[in-house]
Amino acid sequence: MLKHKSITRSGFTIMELVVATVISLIVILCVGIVLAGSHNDWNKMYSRVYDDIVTGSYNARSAFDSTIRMASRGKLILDEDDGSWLEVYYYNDSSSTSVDRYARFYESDGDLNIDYGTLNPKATLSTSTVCSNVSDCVFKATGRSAQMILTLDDGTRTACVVSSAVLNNE
Amino acid sequence: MDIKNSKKIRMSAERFRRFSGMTLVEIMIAITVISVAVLGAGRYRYYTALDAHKTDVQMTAARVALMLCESWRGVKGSVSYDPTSHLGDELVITSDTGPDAPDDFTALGSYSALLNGFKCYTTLSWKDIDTGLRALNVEVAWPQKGYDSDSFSDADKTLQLTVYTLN
Repeated sequence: MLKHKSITRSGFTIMELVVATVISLIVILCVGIVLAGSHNDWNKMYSRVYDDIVTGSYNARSAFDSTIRMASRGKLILDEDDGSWLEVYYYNDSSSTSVDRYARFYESDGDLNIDYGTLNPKATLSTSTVCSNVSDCVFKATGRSAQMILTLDDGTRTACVVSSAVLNNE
Repeated sequence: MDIKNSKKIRMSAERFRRFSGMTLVEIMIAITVISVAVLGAGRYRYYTALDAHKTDVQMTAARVALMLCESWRGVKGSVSYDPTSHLGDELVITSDTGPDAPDDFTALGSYSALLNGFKCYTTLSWKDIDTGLRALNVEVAWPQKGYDSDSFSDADKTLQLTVYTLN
């Protein structure tokens, strides 16, 4: 009787255990690979949207577009040799009777900077750094529009931003 | 006592028989459920990557269109405007085939623009609305899938921008 009972409740055989362990291992490995892959993909996607290069290019474009569009079409000065800087002039506010402010775009130590200042006397009021990781920066002008061709490089990724804006004001 | 014991033995033998394994149908159902889950996850990842790529190329194409619009407007929509000449090496614009200009617009030219390894095809056209008022139209077409396409016939998505200028 006792002998019979010990046969019917003998537990798992070593083969069953080995097979079950192997199957579990395969399943866990597969899940792990899928999770690691998803994590990688998510990181890639995140950096595609939020890394320094992308946010820098957004900032550069929006600063360039907004500053150029409010500028006066009367005058635009450009570095004639290699287009390394660009200067535009604008009205400070609606009470200004003449063009009294300037904005100057230039690249310095891998940063794209804009100097804002008064014209008469010419003095810089503030300098803002729009984006970093700039490896190349060229300004051009066509008629009443200005172009910025900016290459950003953070060592892992390179992106080129080409923007054009019309000087809208009198 | 004996009768009770023998009944017990019979019961546990029955139990052992009943739970001795899984049937083929059970295994088939399990495999089906697992493969549906795996296929679903794979599809999800594939479409996530594809949609991100589509967004990327659409944004690039829209930027090229806006850039051309603003540059052309800068010269007041002049018919002698040539986008191939005034930009640098980073954005390469060359004369190429492009989408058809809208009805009753006069085509200025068709070009291909290459930016960050992505190529799109564009057609510039214009129309005089009134004396001194001109509408400038920029139409861009691009292939949504793959950077390796090198032909206008693969372009399957288009976008149009129209701006007005005094001239």
